Amino acid sequence: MNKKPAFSVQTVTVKMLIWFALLLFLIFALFPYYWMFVTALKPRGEIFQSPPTLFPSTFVWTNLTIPWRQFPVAQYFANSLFITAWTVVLDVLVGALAAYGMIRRRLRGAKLIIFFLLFTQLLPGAVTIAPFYFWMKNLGMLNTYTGLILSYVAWTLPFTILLLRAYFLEAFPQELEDAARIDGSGRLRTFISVLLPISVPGLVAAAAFSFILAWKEFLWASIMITTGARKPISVGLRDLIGEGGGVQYMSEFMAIAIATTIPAFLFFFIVQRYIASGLTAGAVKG
Amino acid sequence: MQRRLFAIVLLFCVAAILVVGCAPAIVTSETGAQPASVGSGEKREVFFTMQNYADFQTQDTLLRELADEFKAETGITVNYEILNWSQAREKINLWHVSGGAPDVADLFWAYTYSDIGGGKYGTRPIEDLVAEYIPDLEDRFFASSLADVKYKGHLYGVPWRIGIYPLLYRADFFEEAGLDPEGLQTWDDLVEYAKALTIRDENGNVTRYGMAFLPDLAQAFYSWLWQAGGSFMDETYTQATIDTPAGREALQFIYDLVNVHQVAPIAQFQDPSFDVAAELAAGHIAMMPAANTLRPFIEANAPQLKEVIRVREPLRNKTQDAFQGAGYFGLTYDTRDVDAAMQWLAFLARDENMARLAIQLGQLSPNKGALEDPYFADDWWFSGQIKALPYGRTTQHPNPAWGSITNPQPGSPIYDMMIEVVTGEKSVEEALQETNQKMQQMMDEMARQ
Amino acid sequence: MLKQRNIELLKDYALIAPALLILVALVIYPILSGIYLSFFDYNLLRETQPYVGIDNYIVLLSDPRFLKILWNTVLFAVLANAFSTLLGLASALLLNSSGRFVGLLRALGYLPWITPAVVFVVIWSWMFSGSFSPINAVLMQWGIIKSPISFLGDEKMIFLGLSLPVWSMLVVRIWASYAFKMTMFLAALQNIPQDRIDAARVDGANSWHVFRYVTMPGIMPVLLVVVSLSMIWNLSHFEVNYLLTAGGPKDLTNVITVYLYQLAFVQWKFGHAAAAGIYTLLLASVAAIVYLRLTRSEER
Repeated sequence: MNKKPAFSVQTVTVKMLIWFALLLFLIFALFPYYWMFVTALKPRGEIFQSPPTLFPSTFVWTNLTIPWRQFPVAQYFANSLFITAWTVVLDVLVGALAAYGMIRRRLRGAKLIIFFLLFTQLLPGAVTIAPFYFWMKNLGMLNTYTGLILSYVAWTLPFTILLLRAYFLEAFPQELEDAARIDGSGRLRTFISVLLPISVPGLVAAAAFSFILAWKEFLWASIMITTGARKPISVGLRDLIGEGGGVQYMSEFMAIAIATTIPAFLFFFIVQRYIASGLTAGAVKG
Repeated sequence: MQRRLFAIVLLFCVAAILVVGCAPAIVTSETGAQPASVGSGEKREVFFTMQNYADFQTQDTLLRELADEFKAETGITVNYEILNWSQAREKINLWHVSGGAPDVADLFWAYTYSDIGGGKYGTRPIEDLVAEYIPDLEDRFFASSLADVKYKGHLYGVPWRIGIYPLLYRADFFEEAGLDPEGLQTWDDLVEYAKALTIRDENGNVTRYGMAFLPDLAQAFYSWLWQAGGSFMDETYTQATIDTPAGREALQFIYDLVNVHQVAPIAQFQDPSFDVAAELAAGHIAMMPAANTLRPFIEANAPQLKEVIRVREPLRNKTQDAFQGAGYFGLTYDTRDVDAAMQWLAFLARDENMARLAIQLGQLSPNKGALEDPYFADDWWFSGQIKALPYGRTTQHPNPAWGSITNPQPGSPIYDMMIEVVTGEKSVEEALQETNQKMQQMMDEMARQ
Repeated sequence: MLKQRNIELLKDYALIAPALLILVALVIYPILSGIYLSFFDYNLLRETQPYVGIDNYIVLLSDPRFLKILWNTVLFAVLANAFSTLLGLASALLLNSSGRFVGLLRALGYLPWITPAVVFVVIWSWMFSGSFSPINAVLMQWGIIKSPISFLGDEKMIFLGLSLPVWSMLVVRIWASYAFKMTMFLAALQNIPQDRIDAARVDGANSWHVFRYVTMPGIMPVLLVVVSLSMIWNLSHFEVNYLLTAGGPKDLTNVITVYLYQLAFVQWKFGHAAAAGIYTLLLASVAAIVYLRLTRSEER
């Protein structure tokens, strides 16, 4: 669409339709966030007014800071960042190694491994929660960062490997590997000095996927982590949910929810260009 | 370009790990994080957990103070954790079947599982220990709250909070309609009052309901059944007894309030997004049972209503029983240092500490001394609850199946029954008969060891 | 020589070993214990856990409630997958340009994907409530409706054979899952060589023809893989259904994963729950086989 035809009624209509569609899409995607903002900023008595006000009568900006004093939000964020960062690093590292192993000379059994990776996705997590809990308990990993990070790595690995394997297949042709071997590079050397540098977009894409899982997972984390000092933010948010299961501090909940969304949004804003190129070259074709 | 990005991403990760590597230093909920090296003897510790009440900082500060004072007195370190309610039930049940429980825990009805675990896991009976460490327990706590922690002659803990759900009403709506709260006593009165308080707009939409039910639809059945003279189980707690004339009267009355008199919202039984606390905050409800969870909700989200919401004694039919349940601190079979744990329990059980816990965490105390604090008599909510204390009836049913029977989720018999009847899917007779059977089956299954 | 080859192969496997180790220890082992559990009348609240063979499976299949939930699972998986694929494709096409704000718009479009379910379910539940929904407020103000709509409760309102609560649940499932597909499709779209589009234009093709004969074939392989992969995930989807309605009203939005969570953690019947999980596994296997078929043709 870089060479536009001359101005015509038809193109104007098409343009307007496209803009209209885009507008509809954005309203659908973003209205919940609008509601999150206005709820956080409403004065106390107005939150549960019915019918609701679509726009706060006054903006109470202090609502955004109050929860940071009432709840250890900073701590939860630090924990989430820590857990997420480790998950991403380990996942991409282990995943890339495995994917590299799988593309080398069309490794025998690669097909079997793919099947195996798929198999891990088939059973719903809710079935395995209790056995997994007992298993983690026996390993002494309950309530530890290690246990949570390893679980997340295990859950993201299959997708990471599938994604990276496909990326490597495209980005790292057999000739390149042969050349590296003739140079006398060992496996790890080739991996670090040749493969990784040319695969950055693929690695970033894989990192983005594991970032998302680690950042927003809550079911397992809430059963496994109880220590306040180690809770990630997705579990910490549940401090605001009371005995009856309902949100007890609505304004505070929304304020923290806003804060949860921002770092993830920034991360994606920065890396989104690379995700697209990381998935190129048929990376998603398996 | 790509190399630069690679470097940036790597740097970001390393920085995040480094910054957060010292994460626990920012806030720590462990007292004794600076391990004060006790001069003589080995370091003694108690691991204590509690569910979340009030906001985190208030609770954290209180627990830290208590732990510090206790440490100064005895030299024993208390490490505490605040558990989220949202997973507390799963968590506590997992402790009961696989261990891993703390030394002292904030529990609720968990002693009904004390038959499980074969003395290896789960809640530990402590009547002998209590006789030694807290000999005046029976005098200092209300007998009705102690009934919540006793089972088969054993004592399982020290109650620290008590929930009693009598009737809540909007004083301003009553005044507006010219109704006298004192004149409301029986179920028949309720129907009259609720009709007078229900308001519709020009389109026929109800803008205010005279009555609503407890947020927990399984618990919503308790008081009606009891007030009709019924009970869930027989005295041996092995037979289900809800398929009785009393059960039919109670269930029929609930059905009538919604469908015949149309003074209670059917949405509560139909719509998963219906939040009765929010409706109360919005002024859509004139009367409802005074569930514990409503108080903090109103305080946090609609504080202006504290002026107009009042709590009073329960309604009367054949009895005047109201829902009552105590939360308690108990020991488990995982408790390592029993002596230290009991010292901590005795420390918490002191009148002044009971008062601190209850007041700061917004709970009604079952401790007589604590309740003398003028805070309770002056409070907009507790002042009414105290008057209702004599009508409390324990919700504890010492049968391992009880937790599943009364769980407020699809698949649990009482919850399903309430919905099926009120939405007209099944008749009262049919539903009661089925539910009684299901309850009996669940109880029998548990008994089949 | 052969020995040398074997050592080489071993070294290749050494690269994969860490991943396999983690997966076997933390994913396969729990799965196998799940399968093992399904042959026992495993009730956590009892001391004895008798072996019952395939009884659990039979009990489930002869329960009409389970069959209904099984059907719901498939229904939600298929519809949520189909609609979110359409929306993902449409949004990818809309955002596949290089304008100034497109980067920002894309990042905004990703938002639903990165928001924790705990957060967005609270907001959506609000959107759907009778008394507090901004949607109801607007519709009432404009005089379009006279009474508030009970989006998650009104089972008597039927569109195209499905009741309103089902549609409402679908909306949230779509909202939560389109962004992943949008990402994939955006990547695929950017993969289509610009010169092929230009060539088509020179040949006089209009937008529709370009889409039909250049764009679609270009993203078809990705689309098929994304659909089959997301089918696997959709069949075992848990969070939205559990948090938004817990399966209600009257099991209309109940799916196997929610049901088995309730079996396990409400009724403590882990054996039954595990058997229900195995049924999901069987369903998902169908999608997995499709996936394997699709990827086989791509092998070199």
